[in-house]
Amino acid sequence: MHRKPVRAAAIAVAALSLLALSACSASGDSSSGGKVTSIKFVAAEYSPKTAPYWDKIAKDFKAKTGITVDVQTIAWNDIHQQVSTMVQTNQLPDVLNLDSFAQYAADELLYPASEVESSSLAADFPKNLADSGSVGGKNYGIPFVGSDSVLFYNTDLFTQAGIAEPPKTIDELASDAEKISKLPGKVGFALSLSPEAPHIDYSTFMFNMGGEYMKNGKWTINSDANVKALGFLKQLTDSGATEVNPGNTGRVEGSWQLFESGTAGMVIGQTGLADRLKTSNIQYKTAAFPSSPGVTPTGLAVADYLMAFKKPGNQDAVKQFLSFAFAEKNYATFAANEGLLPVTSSSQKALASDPTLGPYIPGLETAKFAPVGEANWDKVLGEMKNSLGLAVSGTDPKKVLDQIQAVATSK
Amino acid sequence: MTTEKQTSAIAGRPVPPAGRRRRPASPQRMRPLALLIWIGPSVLLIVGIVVYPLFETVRASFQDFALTGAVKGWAGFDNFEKVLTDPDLPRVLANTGIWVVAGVAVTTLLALPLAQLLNKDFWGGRILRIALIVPWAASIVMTAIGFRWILNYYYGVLNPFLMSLHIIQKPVDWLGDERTIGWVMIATAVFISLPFTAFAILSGLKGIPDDVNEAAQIDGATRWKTYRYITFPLLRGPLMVTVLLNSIWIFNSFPIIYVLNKSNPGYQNDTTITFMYKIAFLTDRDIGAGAAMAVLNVLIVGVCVALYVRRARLD
Amino acid sequence: MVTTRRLITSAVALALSVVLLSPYLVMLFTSLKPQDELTITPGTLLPTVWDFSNYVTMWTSAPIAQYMTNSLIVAVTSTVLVLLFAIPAAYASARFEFRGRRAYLFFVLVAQILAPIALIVGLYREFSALGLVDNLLALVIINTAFNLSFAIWLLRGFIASVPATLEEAAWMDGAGRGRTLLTIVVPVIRPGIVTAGIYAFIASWNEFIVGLTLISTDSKKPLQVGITQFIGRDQIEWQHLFATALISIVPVVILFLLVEKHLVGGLTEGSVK
Repeated sequence: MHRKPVRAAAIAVAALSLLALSACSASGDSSSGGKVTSIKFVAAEYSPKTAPYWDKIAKDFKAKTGITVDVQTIAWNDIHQQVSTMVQTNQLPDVLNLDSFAQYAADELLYPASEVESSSLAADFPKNLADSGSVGGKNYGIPFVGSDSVLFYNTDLFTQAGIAEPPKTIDELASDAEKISKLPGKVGFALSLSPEAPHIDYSTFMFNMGGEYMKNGKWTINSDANVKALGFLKQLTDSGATEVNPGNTGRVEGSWQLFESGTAGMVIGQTGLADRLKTSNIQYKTAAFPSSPGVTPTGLAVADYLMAFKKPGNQDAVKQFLSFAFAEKNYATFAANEGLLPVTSSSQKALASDPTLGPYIPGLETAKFAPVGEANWDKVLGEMKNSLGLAVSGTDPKKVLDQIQAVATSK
Repeated sequence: MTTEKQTSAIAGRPVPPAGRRRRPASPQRMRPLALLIWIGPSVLLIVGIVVYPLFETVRASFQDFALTGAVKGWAGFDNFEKVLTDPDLPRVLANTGIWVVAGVAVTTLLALPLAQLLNKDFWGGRILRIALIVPWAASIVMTAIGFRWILNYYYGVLNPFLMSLHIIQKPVDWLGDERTIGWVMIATAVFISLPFTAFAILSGLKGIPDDVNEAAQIDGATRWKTYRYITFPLLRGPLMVTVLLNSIWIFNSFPIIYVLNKSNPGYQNDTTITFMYKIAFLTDRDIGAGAAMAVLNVLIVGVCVALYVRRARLD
Repeated sequence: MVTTRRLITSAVALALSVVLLSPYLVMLFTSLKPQDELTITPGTLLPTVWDFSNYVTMWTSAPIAQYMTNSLIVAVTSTVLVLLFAIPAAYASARFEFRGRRAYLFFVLVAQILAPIALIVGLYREFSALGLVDNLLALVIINTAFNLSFAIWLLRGFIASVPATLEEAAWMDGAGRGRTLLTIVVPVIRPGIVTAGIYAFIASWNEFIVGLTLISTDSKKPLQVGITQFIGRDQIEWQHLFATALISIVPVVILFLLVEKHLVGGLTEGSVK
């Protein structure tokens, strides 16, 4: 009788029962075939104000429509992993607030925007913003907040270095940066190419030097113009005009921090930086980003989107929730809380006279988007984040861009 | 690694060697049912919570995942092939080896004298014990963020501090410079593992009977000799446990490297654990490949642990 | 002569204490700085203006008290469970003969090498099947399970170092296994139990990835997850981050002070008697 240890049997029973449990793994929410009365909303956490805001929206929404909204706010650092986990385990949200959407559209997980936008909402988006959310010609991502990149410069440091005007050309930027970096303890141009968000700084330079991500539907990541742009950044670093390690410097705690503390003379910033600088006492101004001769100055437009996942019976609830999220009063509060630009024409008109956010609105209309609607953009971006910084720390810029191009054109 | 039979000089009375249990006089073997009460809950919890998800991970490593995270189908060994042929893997493996060996060795070497110190009675001993608990009490992520803050080239306090002491001439880019980031991360791991190791060894020291030390002293042994031949071997139990646990813990450690290395592009400073995470969620966004790397991680550490246990003959 | 040595010992101990506390002291001073002093170059240690308001605003800018309560519930419960299950298991595997003892020990060790970070998807899948997602109970169960194996190994190591003479005497007298464990062994391995308990508490209190993945409702988040909201998209609220991090150390230190004498044992107690 001691031959078969009971212990082994116990383990087997435990293992089997767990496997049985997994076999009947229930999927998300139960809807009885009709319309759902409860939806799950996953929101990105911009600041400590985000979670309370959405909780209040959920409460107000329930009072108005009787539909429960289960809000999950997740920090930006972790949200992509969390959403990936949700997709893997078939626990899809109903509405998601994220900076990428093309992969979900490509896998046919999303409603086309037209199916969940009220007609008044659909008409309220400027064309470039609405189109930025399209995959293969159809809109899926609904832009929610946006920002464009402009040049921030410290007027005190400019005066000290004897520079009267912000640079209008790329070459002027380089020489201005070199002049400022000669001031003791100062940095000419705070460049951020670490894995946090290198595409913002890089794209701004690239676009303004005549480069493109795509041409005629084909990836041109390692085009000559792009290689030249990245090479320029390498030169800028090598000449000492930037901080000591741009390839290892982030934005939020890196280049923006250097600017906020008055150490850096120039930086690429967005409305978030302007919001941040409200409590600092450095003297600064913004200007359109300089460009190479013959290139119209522009900035990189970045938007965060809302997207609706196809789940039985949730279309109506989602549509109502989206309208509620964009409702004038709510939407304006959110944009003000987070220091971000609203993207509907009506709200932009209302904010045109706001001293902090107003100046950025015209820029958003002319700024260029990265190809976020490409199905594998998220993957290309991942590769860019991981390797752009290498170009200023010793790796050949062309090699870096070749590698990213290879990832973009693979599979 | 045999334990020498320690004898005190007093009449050859054997000192019980650590790690060698004597068979209990209780004659009967455990009845299986009774055994269930003693070890049952642990088995159930570990199988259910630790082992079962491992099956899921293994399963995922053979699946093909879309960028969204959805499963597209079976991938055979493709994920493993992708990971094993990755040109960055050799560097990552080398990093991991140095990371674990250096981390555990330095921790142990520092913890031993620290435990001796803690075992003494003196003014300030309590302060030291409380100070020692803090790196352990603090969350690893927060400690790593703290170090990140201190080591920043521009606004951290370490550079001005070292420069004022004339230890360095110019500021050092501790986190961004290839030559220093590795040692910074190891130092952080040591800093965090030190408290547990020191206290574990201290508990072992407490278990050594006083008369053992007294006997040695009566025999005229110097303090060093006493330590080397009597105390140290008696610490074998706690030491083996801490070395093993620290190795596993440091191998599996994610937050330290992730936080300190966050702003560095490429894979030059990654270990197998952060490499796995990056593949799955950050760069490739390939869950299947990440799972394959996770399986490899388990195999690597599993084999090493198995070899260690066999060699140490812990049965 | 003894006094000089004692003086040196004390001095060394104090110096070491400062080194061990230094990163946290920097965090403390940073948390007392006003916004505009935070990131000046070159960095400074002490604030020129001491701003204590961060320790007040941190409680209102995020529901820190709620997060701390959640973490406390999970940590205390799982620590108690860990000790409850690990002590008998460690004793049985150290002292008793049974078929498969070696396999059991290896099994426990295998569990130790598996860390939540690699298993997180499987865990999420399992607990959503059990309907325990967004439930603190899930955190208790998972923390208990993951901390069990080292507790068993640690305690087993301590028990193995203790000669079995006293237990043998008790068995001769007819005491059962359970009673022997409770009355004879437990007091002797108390430092080991305290170490294992503290380790379990700290591991659970500071646990991050499982809490992040399984808990979605803001009011149920454990402290380590809730604190991440200070790391925003455009700005990091360093003062609140560090203030909260330091406050989160306090319960652990208090716990340590309460059990310290069992860990250190008092020098006059000392030995196996």
